[in-house]
Amino acid sequence: MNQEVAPGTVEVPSMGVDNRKLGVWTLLGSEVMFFASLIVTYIVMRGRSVSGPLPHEILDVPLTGLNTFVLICSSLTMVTAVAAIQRGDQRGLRRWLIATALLGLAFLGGQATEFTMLIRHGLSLSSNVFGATFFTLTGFHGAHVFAGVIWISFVLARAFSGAVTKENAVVVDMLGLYWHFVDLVWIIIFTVVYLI
Amino acid sequence: MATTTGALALPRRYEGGVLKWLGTTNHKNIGILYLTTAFVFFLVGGIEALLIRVQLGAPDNTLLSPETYNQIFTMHGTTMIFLFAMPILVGFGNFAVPLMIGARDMAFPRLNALSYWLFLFGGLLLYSSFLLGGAPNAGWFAYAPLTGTQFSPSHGMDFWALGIILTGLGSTAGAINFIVTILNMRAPGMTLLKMPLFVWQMLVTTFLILFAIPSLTVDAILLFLERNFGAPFYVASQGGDPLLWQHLFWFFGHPEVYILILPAFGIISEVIPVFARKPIFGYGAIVLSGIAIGFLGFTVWAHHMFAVGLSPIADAVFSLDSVIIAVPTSIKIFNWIATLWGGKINVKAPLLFAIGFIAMFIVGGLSGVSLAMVPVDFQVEDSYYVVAHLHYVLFGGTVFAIFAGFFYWFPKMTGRLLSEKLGRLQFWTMLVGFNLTFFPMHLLGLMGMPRRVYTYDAGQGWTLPNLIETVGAFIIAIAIGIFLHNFFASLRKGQPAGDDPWDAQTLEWATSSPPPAYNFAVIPVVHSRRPLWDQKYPAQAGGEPAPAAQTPTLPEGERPAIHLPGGSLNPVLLAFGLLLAAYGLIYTPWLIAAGIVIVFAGIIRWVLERR
Amino acid sequence: METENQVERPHGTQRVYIGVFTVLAVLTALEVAVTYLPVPRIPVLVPLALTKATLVALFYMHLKYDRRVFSAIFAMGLLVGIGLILALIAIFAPPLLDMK
Repeated sequence: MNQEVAPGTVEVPSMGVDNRKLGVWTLLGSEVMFFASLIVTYIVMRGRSVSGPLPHEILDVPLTGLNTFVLICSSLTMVTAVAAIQRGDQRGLRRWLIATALLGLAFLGGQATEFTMLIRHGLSLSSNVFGATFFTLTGFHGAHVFAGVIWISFVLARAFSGAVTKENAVVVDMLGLYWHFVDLVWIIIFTVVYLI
Repeated sequence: MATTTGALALPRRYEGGVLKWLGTTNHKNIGILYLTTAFVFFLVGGIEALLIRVQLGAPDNTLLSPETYNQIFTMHGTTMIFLFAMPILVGFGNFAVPLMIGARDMAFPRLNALSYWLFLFGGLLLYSSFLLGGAPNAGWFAYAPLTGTQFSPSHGMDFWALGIILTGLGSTAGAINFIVTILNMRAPGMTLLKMPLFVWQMLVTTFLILFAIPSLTVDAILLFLERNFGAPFYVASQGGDPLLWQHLFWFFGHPEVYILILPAFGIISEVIPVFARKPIFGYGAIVLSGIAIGFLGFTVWAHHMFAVGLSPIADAVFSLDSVIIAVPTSIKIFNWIATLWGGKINVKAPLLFAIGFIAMFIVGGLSGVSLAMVPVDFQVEDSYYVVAHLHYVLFGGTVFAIFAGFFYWFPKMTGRLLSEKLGRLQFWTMLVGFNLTFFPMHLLGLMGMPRRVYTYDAGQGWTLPNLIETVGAFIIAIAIGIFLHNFFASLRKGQPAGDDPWDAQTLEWATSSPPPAYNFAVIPVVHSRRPLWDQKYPAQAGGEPAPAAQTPTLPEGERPAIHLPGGSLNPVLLAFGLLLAAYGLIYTPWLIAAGIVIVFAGIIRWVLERR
Repeated sequence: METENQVERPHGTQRVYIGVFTVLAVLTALEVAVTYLPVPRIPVLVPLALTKATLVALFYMHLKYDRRVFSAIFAMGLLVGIGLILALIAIFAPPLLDMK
């Protein structure tokens, strides 16, 4: 009789992982496809604008490169926050989460500034195909960053009330995975849209 | 720590009535919600089909104007695929999968409820369009540029896009739930290769949903942006490309048809061994072929686009892949037939529908393989030949499997059996009606009758086949009527079923009918692919009584101390907020704001909720 | 409940994280520089971007240290997504090849 586990009322995860963490990875799998669809739209529509501002005319590569650097910094602060709470360091968690949120907001500020500048140059969703694909791709990415900042606020609020501990550090781990994914997507977008 | 007391007593607020259903997070209840709601949409889609068939029953008919006809056939397709077939299969999955793997519920019960409410509200959003300026009218596949504001000025296509996005969110959430549940919540001892085949097919299906739906979601978003913000994605004169719509759509659309058939394969793979009283033949082959179909399903999408002007190489590649995909499908069919061969066949309604499935699906598969040949497709593209093919696989296939599932699992859900006599009457009526309706369409297509036409001229030889098809459609309606009568009568006074009316093999039959809220008092330990069977017939398993696979009985009067999360109204709240935001996107930003506020409130309440 | 939360698993240290950060920053600067140099773009920039993405996935997202099921699911998504992109590039190719 092979009863290495006594039948009981507590379920043992059959894959040995936390449900929520597996859930976030599954979500990210779906998000990969979401951004792949947006990216492929941008790529196949390249060079098809019949009018209007063109990429090499108005995109500011160094400025966006700086913004990219900001997002990379935020990934470092996020991974530091996760490591902190995995050690049980609640103060460290709060400090580094705040840093991440601020960097995320800085990135969004950079995006807002850039969008304003582009719109002044005549680029919009309806100006031409470049405008349509550009704003859709970067817009949805920005929305994901914004959602991430909100998610950070939720976790931060719970952290301030002491509800986030070493035992349930997975809730920060989940947030970290999402945040790094959003950074990863930006790495691709930066290359495809601004550099190539 | 709340404990359950008595039968199905929800430990918290929502004891009964509307609130119970609004707030339920139990997978069995949610499964029942899906099944009943989807069946109602089936009836609505069926009425739309009857309207189509009456209009086409005679040449130059005047029942439906062209504009109305376009809305009816668009909503027929959209309803049947997104509001009937997908949700009803998810409904069976919801009810059966946790039971089959020995779990107490899905991994994320509230997310599960959210999926259902997004489905319902997405469907209501779609149908409200009839009252708000006209339903979508550009086909269920919504090709650009017909869907732009120039040719579709009413809000119908906006309702379509937003409905697709809402239901798509629900499907994605559901996919996440199923994947985590199946991977991480199996009973001890149940390795992946000991899982029931229905669970395997649901696993592959939900991965397909996970990776295919985003392509459709993006497509719908782009369409909405084009229609409402002038973004020229599909406008050729501004550099856009209508083909982009088609590629993104069919990249979803082809995996979609496997999403619609794999769970059906799973149901058949459960029913046939039980009624042949034998183990399934070639379990491993069925698992592998399911995975192969899932993977290959992503490589064939442009076979829906052979005639748009792709290069010959592209056509050849997609044609080749489409032919290859027939191989794993055939493997399954051979395995089912081999399972029946030499079995002690127990002829009951579920088996009849399963055999009907196999026969009809073979026909549909053959017409599909013929369509995979590019020269053939060039001749019959957009004709009734394609309509015949898709209905043979989706009705002859999926719908027959759904009824097999209903007759098989109704006793477990309700504690009563459906009438066997009425089941057989329904089966034969449906088989005759179905073939009368759809077989002549092969011929009509070869004779050149195009799809999606609201009428046709007399004197082409199309009149008689169309009339036969219309008669057949009403025979199908009669069969459905028989089912409805069976359903309601059996609910009230059907024969009591007991735990295991079919002498079945898998874990859901080890519980009472219906199962208690907590499914299993003690999580079973599993040692084979047929845990219940080996428990009942240990001699067949090799002599020794198998270790307990079913719930051991507790001493009289003792209740298991199990923590069950209570219900929650936050899923329906969140879904409602998204619905408001959707209306807001069409009508006014104030509704968007209101919707977002409600969504936020729902999320905060969700996170803070004590479970 | 034995999950990978409780079990001590190997994981990156702060030094590794900072090291990865440095590489990411340097590569980003390199990428921007490439746009000003007479260097072929796609053959240089795509591998650079993929390297950065891989570093983030392996180290920041812990895929190097975590259970393989996470990598498997992510890899499946990547396979389908990259497949879609490559297939559509191939199908829409001719105008794209005329680009600078």
